[in-house]
Amino acid sequence: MTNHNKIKFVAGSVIAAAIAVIGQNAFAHTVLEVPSIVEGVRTSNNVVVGHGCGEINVIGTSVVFPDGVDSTITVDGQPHAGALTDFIQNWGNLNTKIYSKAVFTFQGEKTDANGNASGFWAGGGDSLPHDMAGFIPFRTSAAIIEPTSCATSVKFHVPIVDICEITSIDGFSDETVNRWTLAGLGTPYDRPEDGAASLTITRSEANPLPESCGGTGQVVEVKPSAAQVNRDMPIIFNGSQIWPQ
Amino acid sequence: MTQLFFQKAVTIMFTLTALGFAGAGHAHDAGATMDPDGNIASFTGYAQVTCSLDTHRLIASVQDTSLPQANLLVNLQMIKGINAISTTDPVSGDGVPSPEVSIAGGGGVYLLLVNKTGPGPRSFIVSYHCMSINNEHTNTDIKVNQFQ
Repeated sequence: MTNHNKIKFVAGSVIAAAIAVIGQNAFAHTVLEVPSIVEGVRTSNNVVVGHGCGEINVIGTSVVFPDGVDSTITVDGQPHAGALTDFIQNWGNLNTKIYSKAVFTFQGEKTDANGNASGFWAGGGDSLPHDMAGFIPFRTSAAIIEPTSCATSVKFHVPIVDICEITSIDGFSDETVNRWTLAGLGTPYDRPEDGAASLTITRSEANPLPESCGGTGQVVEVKPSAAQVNRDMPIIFNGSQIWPQ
Repeated sequence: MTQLFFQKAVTIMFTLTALGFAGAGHAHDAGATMDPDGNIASFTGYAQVTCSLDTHRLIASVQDTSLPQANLLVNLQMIKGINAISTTDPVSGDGVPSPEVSIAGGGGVYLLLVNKTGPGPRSFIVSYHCMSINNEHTNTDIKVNQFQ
């Protein structure tokens, strides 16, 4: 009887563990620890890597923030032809890497010609166990919503790829990468349905809507262009592209 | 096994290349060389400095670190809303920055411009600090919009 119960307990534990892992794989997208921040506030943040590629550990991660230069902007779901500065005064170089070897040994920022960071990466050294979450620290500096705009929030879609094996683009699979990215951009990093992380800047009460907005705010969303994702998602280290190879 | 191979290869590559990595400068000091070819008199650096909402003013100065050259000096302009101010490093290369200037514009985005009085390369350092009414340093961030 005792042995029978032991077997039942062990079997139950295995099933429970399997369900937990399946549940984790199904729901633990890689996200930002602080996905919504009021304007004017600097926040310590983390990319939260949710899990590995099945049972394969994560050896690196690559993160791209829309640069606002050629990004796609929508207002209440409708395309906006103007500039991002219509809604945010100072977007750019706001999300910068905090140095840490807690998960990966090496790290760097993706920068434009003026040195402004539009993303970052971390990788190498010990890998992140596939069944654990990992925090990749960065800082979100204070964004300022344009006072004359009607924006109540500006949501930035942030594509992230977790890397489990260094491959070429042709080698991308569920065993080599986890793509927490957008659908339909037309890049090799796309996924079938939108699954990118996001960072939303909300309007401060100290920055009330102009009367011309009629008391109704607008919801702004920003996605990076395909050109930017193709340029910024690869990991370049000391002048050499190390992923994808 | 394949993964371990790649992981090891990448680790070695990272280790080798990391040796050549140069360190970053001091926080809130930004330096560079304007007009490195010496033929753009209109060369202008343009940056946005964001101060947190507990800020009273932004203070800044510029230091020309190049050797002196006749009629070639470096200027700094600061703009916030309807207010503007400027300063010039009167002696190049002496290790002494320009007089400090400030605008008491509260939190938000300040514009900083750096230019020079004629053609010729000029290396410089801009020092910029958001400050509270109690002279405490507040959160200070920068974005460079133009350097040409």
